[in-house]
Amino acid sequence: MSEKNDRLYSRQHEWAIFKDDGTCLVGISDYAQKELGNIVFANLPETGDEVTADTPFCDVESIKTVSDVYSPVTGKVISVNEEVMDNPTLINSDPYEAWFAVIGDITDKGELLSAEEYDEYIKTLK
Amino acid sequence: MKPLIVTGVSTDPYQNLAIEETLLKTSCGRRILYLWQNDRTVVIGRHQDAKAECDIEKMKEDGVTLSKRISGGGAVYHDMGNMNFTFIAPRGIMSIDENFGIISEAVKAFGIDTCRTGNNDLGIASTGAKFSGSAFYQSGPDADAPCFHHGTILCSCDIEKMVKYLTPSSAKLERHGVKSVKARVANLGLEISDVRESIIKVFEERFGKADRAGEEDADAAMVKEARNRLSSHEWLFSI
Repeated sequence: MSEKNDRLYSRQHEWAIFKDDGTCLVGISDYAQKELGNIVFANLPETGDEVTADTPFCDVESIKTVSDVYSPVTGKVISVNEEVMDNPTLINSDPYEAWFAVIGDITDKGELLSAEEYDEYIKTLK
Repeated sequence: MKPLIVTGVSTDPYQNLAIEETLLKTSCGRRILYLWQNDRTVVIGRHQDAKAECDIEKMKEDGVTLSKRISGGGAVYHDMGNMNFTFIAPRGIMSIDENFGIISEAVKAFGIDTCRTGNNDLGIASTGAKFSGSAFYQSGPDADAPCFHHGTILCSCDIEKMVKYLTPSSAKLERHGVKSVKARVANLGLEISDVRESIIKVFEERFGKADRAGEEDADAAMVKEARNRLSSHEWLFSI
């Protein structure tokens, strides 16, 4: 599929939407959820957690494995998606709506790709 | 790069889980087999609630530790009648089926045929009783991300004790269609050292002659940091 071009992507398969208020919405890509399979638990961060770009900040458990999720930015967690914690299968059914966390106080970013670049990148992985 | 085989000496579950994590983090694309044993402990999955999965009071009375691994899945009981294996490799070359094949072949050398049961378990073919349960962790979804597949092998584990400490919900047992933990697990009845040597032999037949290392060769500062974290109240009792 073609990735959504309203956001940026990391090579660790997270997506990030930078909003006008300076915060960033983070989730995982369609590629990541497919690789994981049915997700049974989303261990999201807590509000107030300090996160670092390209460093694990939460994890998900699928029927296959536990997998770390990396933060695309350095900053502080402002809120987490309780709905995804209660119903982690939302990550499989709609990965681009099922955001994990809103991150604010952003002081740094990891390397992020456009939708087109990310599409090209995942083609090289198969 | 030659594969690496690490045979554990420590029987402290926190130390061993820390060594395992350190071997993963420092694997740099290498294939590693780590064989290790824990003294009496209940090990719960990363997202499990200790209070729901085991009887912490009874464990305290009997000096059984509570530990929690970074992989998923359910609670297990370990003692010195159980051996643990960990296969570490980059995700792109890790094959769960191949790993199960190694364990099966190693056990077959003693005349015991095995079968896959449930999602991630191995059973004794003649009875279907489970002697090995597995769990998985990956540091990311990419082919070069290090991951591990680890599991238990019951050789002469005290199953009465296992039943005493583990408190699975009756709903879960009903889903599995059996009456109790006791009815669906079994020991191989083999010596740990014999099974260990057999696994090493089959592993080297598959992947070539391996280098050997002791657990003391793992990065000491990383092991120490991981042990502190993995033995903390916060880690054990957070869900």
